[in-house]
Amino acid sequence: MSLQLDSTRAMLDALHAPGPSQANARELMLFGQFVGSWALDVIYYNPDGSIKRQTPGEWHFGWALEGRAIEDVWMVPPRSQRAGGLQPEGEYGVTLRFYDPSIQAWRSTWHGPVNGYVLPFIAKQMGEEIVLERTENGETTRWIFGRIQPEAFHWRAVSSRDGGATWRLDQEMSATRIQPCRGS
Amino acid sequence: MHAWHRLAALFVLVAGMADAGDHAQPIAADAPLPEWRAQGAPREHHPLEETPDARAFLSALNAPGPAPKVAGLADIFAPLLGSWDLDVVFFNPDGSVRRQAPGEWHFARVLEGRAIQDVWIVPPRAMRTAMDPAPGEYGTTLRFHDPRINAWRCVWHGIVNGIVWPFTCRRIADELVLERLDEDGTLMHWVFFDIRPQGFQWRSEVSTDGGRHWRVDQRMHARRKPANPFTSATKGEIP
Repeated sequence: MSLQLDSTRAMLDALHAPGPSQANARELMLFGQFVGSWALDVIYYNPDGSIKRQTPGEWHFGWALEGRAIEDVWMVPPRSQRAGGLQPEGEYGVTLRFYDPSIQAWRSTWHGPVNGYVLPFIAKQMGEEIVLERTENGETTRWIFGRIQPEAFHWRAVSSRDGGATWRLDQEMSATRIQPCRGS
Repeated sequence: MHAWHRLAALFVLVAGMADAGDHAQPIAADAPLPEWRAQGAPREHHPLEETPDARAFLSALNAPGPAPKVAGLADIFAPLLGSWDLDVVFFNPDGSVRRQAPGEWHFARVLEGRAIQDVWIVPPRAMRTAMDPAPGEYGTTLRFHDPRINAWRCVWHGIVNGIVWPFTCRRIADELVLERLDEDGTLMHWVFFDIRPQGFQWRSEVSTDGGRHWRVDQRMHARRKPANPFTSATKGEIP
């Protein structure tokens, strides 16, 4: 892959930021720690707990918008398996995350164009984990970053239809950091 | 909060409006972040090709053309691709001009060509300082075509003012109409109109009576930016 220059470059140049904004710099590192690229092993579960599907993926995080936001690109399967102009099932989407001081939490919105999703979450640190939460039609969904280390983390999606009394595991991912190519 | 106040908050161009510093609290004061997490790069501008992390993210985001299912009639935002200089006018409820400001707006295809992302900056970068919090706004909209509803989903993220607003977007005659219903029942339209190769206009209008009466609270004139000589000189691709 390569970056097209010309008109596309102007948007990317306006979007991109080299690091966190000075204001709230500490809070911004909650997701800023993920800036970089990650290889994924993604598992989807059936309601009965059996494995529905397992697939590799890619996840790339970058600073954006004067360093007040983090944008990431998440895709399954990875680009190496998307060649040939075919548009396989899976997803190729974006999350836009920014820290909102007025709620002392993050607004984190998932955009999944392949499957038509726009899912706004509120996110904050809870213990050692980062929890994204949203409730719609009586169902509470949590997307949780856990076991966070510099070179790896685990992610899981759980949902509850009884106000949080019981949770079902819908999806999980293991992420391993990929070193970017230095120089060219 | 009343929708008008939220709308006003979005656009008020007063430094210190979103005074983040007064409200910032550590998320977990008893759990200091390790040093490797707390390091941040300086804020000077870095060319994209000098930051490998950014390059990986940006090349995953970037798309050279429309996805097959977006090309053609569905590709309603294609005329907006590129970069624009803005004259932005904000109106008081009585119709008088409250504030006028320049801005810039950049649109590009992203995500395998299923989506278009833009960055909207008021005032423009040339007039911004290292001030924190920033005046005005420096936000983005993600737009993608959703064949299930035969329309586009557009989500405005106003980072400086803490806003996430999803809209449903359709072409109606010669206009591109973004619509959303606020929680308090206010109907909002953001409309692109008078769309030509070198310019377009935009208006924001609100209705509190279900669409019978509309009040324009903001307008923009957009002129296509002349080609950047620096960008032209480096025409090509980043490997």
